[in-house]
Amino acid sequence: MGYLEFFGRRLARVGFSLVVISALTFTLLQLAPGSFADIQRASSGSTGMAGAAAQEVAGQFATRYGDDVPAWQQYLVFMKGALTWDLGPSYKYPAQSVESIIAQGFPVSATLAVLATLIALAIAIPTGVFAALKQRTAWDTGSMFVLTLGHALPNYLTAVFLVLIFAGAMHVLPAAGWDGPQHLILPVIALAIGPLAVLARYVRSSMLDTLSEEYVTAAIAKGGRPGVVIRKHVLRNSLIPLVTVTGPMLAALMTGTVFIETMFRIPGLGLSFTQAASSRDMPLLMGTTLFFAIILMATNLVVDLVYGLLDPRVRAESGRKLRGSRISRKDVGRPGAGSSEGSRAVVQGLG
Amino acid sequence: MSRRPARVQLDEAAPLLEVSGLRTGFRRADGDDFVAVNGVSFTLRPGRSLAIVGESGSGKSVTVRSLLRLLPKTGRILDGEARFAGVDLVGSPDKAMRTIRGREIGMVFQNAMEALNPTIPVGRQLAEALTWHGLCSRSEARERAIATLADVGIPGPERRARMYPFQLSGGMRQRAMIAMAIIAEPRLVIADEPTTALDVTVQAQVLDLLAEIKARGTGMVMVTHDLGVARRFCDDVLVMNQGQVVETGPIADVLDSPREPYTRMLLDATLDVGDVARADARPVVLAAPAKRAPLEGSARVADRGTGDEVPASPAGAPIVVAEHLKKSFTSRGGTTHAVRDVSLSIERGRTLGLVGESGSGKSTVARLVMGLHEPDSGRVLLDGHDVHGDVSDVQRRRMQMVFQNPYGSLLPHYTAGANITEPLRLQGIGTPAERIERASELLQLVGLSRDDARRYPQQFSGGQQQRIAIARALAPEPDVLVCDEPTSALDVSIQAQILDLLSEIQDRLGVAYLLISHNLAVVETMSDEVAVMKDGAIVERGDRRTIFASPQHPYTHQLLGAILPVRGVGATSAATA
Amino acid sequence: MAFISLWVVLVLLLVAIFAPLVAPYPPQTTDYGQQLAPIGSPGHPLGTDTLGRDILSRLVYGFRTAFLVAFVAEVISVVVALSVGVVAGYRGGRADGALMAATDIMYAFPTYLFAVLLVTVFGRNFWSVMAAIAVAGWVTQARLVRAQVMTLKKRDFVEAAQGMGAKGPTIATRYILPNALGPLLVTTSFAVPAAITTEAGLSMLGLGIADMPSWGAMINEGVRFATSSPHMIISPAIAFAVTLLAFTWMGDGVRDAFDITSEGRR
Repeated sequence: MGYLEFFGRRLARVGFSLVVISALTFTLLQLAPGSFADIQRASSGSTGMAGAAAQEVAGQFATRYGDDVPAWQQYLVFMKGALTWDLGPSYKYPAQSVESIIAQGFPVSATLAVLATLIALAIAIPTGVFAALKQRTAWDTGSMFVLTLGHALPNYLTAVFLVLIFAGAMHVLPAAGWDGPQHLILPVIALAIGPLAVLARYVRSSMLDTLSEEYVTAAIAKGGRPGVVIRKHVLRNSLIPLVTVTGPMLAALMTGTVFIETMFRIPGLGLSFTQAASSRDMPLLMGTTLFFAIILMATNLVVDLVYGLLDPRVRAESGRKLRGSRISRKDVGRPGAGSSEGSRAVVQGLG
Repeated sequence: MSRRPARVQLDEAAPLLEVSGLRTGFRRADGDDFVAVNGVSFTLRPGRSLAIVGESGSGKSVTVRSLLRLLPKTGRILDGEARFAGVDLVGSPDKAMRTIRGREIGMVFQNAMEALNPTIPVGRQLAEALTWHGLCSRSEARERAIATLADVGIPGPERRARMYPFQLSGGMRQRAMIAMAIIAEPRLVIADEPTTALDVTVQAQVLDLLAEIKARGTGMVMVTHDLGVARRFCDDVLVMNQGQVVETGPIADVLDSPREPYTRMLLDATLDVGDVARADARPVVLAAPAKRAPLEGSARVADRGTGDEVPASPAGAPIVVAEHLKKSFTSRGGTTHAVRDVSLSIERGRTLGLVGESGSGKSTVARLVMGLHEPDSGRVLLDGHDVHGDVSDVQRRRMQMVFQNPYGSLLPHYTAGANITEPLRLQGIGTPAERIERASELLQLVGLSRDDARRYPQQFSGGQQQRIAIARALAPEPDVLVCDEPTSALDVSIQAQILDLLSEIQDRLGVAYLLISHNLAVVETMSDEVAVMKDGAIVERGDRRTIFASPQHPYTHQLLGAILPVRGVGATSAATA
Repeated sequence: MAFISLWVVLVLLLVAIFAPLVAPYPPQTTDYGQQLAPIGSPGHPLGTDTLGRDILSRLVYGFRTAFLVAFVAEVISVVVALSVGVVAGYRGGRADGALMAATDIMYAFPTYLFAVLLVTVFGRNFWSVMAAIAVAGWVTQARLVRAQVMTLKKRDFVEAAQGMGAKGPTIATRYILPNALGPLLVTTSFAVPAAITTEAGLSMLGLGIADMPSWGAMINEGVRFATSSPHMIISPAIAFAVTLLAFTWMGDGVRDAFDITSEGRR
């Protein structure tokens, strides 16, 4: 029974959140001095657009939203446009509609994000697994130390070092631009390092949790070879929760490439958004914000559903508090009665 | 995939298990080894069963885990020998160990919920024990998994084999895990506290199953803290304390005439249902804990053990009356009727024992009586005042509570002294200096020293923590203590001390107890009156002697029938009378 | 490591507080004879930028800006998170529903996106940058406090306290709150470097505080000359990295100190 109902409930919540977010963003932009349309005139003037062009755009804007229409009506017009994928013209680039700017920028950002996520996963999983199996050895502490470095620095700072080394000192890769695969390498690496560190640490601790589970001891007691026990009992159970981290991470990357795009001057959605913000291109700002929110929420929704499919416990109790819940494993047993001495640490023989 | 591992060469003439001088240590942070098992030796002949008993920390569990080399990474066998049918368990290469684990020696764990992988169907987990040893094909293994599930008494084995562990009931999960241990038909089964997490009635069924397996000629080593389980089930016993063997021998010999003081202490501390009845039958109190001379003013309080001969307390009127309590909890999963219709009364200075299995609603009753939960209907009167209504703080403090988990119930960021004075501070009783003085008195009353007031809860042992919790409950001079499983988290020797302390306090201060417990022996030892709960309702109540000597309700019969007495055969008579 | 980091952080804090004494020049002073001076130039140990401004001075003042913003933002976000988290976690019901709804919405914004919106609307001044960071930060922390309070609420000592006659506010503030502070301190010690990062990030996008020197702006300028005048970016990048690592390792130390396992098992 629960699964469909659960899905419906989540969908309703996503819808509600989207309405609130759009209203919130719209209100925020209303709070800025002057009316929605006024700002457009003023800011387009200030960015040096030719007077006539600015007038023309302002005119278009007025026809779309109406000049002296109350804010809530402007909001309704905007939302109607959002639902029909017709967001009107951008203010800064009047020749282009907001939806076409999104349609051009998003594939670029998504390429960066997907590549970075794949690289991060491909390196993080083996590293985390290996570190967990070699817990408290030089391999473990060494790799975790290096990852801390990657985790502590924001991607734009990592990018600076990469540029200094590969473009500045070695001259093997371009420092900026968007023209062929060699332009992808530095941005993708810079984007991947932070998530890589997070994922590897997550895999490691999840592995250690699973390794200390009694069912792993039980599997060894059944006579399993280390490889088989790890493959069938440890890996699966410790990688399932990884879905809950990877999904949002991919979403954050898709929307969060802004620093890297700005730094490398890559024409992605992040760059459009930043430019919209500094030039106060409200239609574009509204459009990209809403688009980002949809991407994030859709990813979270998919993550929840996938997680439910992977973990039978969640599947069974799907109706109940699924969101953010990693089923607590230590919820049974009378405390203290009898003893399970020494069973809570990782069992040896799996190294 | 399956390279077929050669079966190790077993020596049929050798004992099934021969352990000598086994020492196991754990590496500590300071680099030294903590020796958990220190020179354990024993021999197990085929078809026999051995119980390894001891309190927590005695090293019994580490001993059996050492045999299969299932130690955590920090642990290692320091020296000693262990041979299984002639095969060296300490020195053999890992590869040889793998052919023994699961195939020659099966292991049953304490908690099936933890020992079964939550994301793999039960049947598949059983089948692994066969395919990993290359004993048969995948499809054959599947068939045998279903057959073995049927064998351990799981109805609908085909369907259940496809289920995940969490979809099975507690008893069924435990059976499934036993099935996993025996599916490869091992010669020896090691069971580590196999029934500790189970209710008594389920425990009885699981023990019957293990007895059946044993009857087929499988050798068995069972680790347990429960001497009753050991007596019912095993031929021989090995008593362990602090990593060493205290005493070993045939079970009846050791338990009926222990040679070592530690074994005797353990036996004395262990309560049996019927102890009190036997004590009643004799002119002198033997089994009941020794008592100090009652303080002045508490003479009116009935003496435990022979209490029923003393007329009811002169105060007469009950101090606590609960009438038609009902409570249900609603969650998305549906509504649970935790308490259906419960009425009870407790007289001044006396003890009402409330006994039941997990989920019977007894803890909810405790919380309703305490006023921690609002009842859906019904009321609780404390000396005539409605606990959920017009009761004032002054009256309210006359009822206090002691919890199962002493550490959890103490404030971790307060010292023992501050914990004890906290109820006084909250009620604004006394000056700070007076409160500190009171805390010192109370600490001494519960057998701790004044200096302990400055230490924090985590610096005390479990038993000491429970003493602090009792001292705190006594601080506002209550008339009633609600004790919710006060000794369930403690070892038997500690349990005996805490029960002693509670009896003594009742004698000296005349406090009435509502004692909640799943342990019939504890309830029999402590109570004047007993109520038996099942599915949210009291199925039977009456004075202690009547309930234990001639139970009327079938469920009470069932509970008493599931009891495993530690002492001689005569002990069972109370249950079967 | 944590100990060394603590000292580094302390020194950095002193530098931020006494910036006017430490920095050789005011940050905006331009020296037109000395544009793009390399590292080690007389009078300019770390060189100058395209406008001839002393890089060392700008670094010192840049850190002062970052730290000021981060500190004020964290104080605000911790106070808000504590009050909202405790109420939501302890009372549950409507307060909890509101917090969860707010969380859902905040999580639908990428962190920097909300910050960018706020700065766009309220201008490139100290308060809007600070507010942007606080608004982005409090939700996560409030959720943490809420979760912590909800776990603690189920502990027996809360029932015990109720049994002793303690009322809700007493339980929440005297018993639950002190036990919930440890984890909050840990996240806060990691949130400070995150806030510094956000501040620098905003100014890198050209959306930082308009009239205050910032590391983000220095990096943004420097990266354009990365191949021709790398000295402009090397020292800010290294200073930035050292600062973040020091804060992170100090946070690790704080976490280890509090990792006495909340399970309460000894």
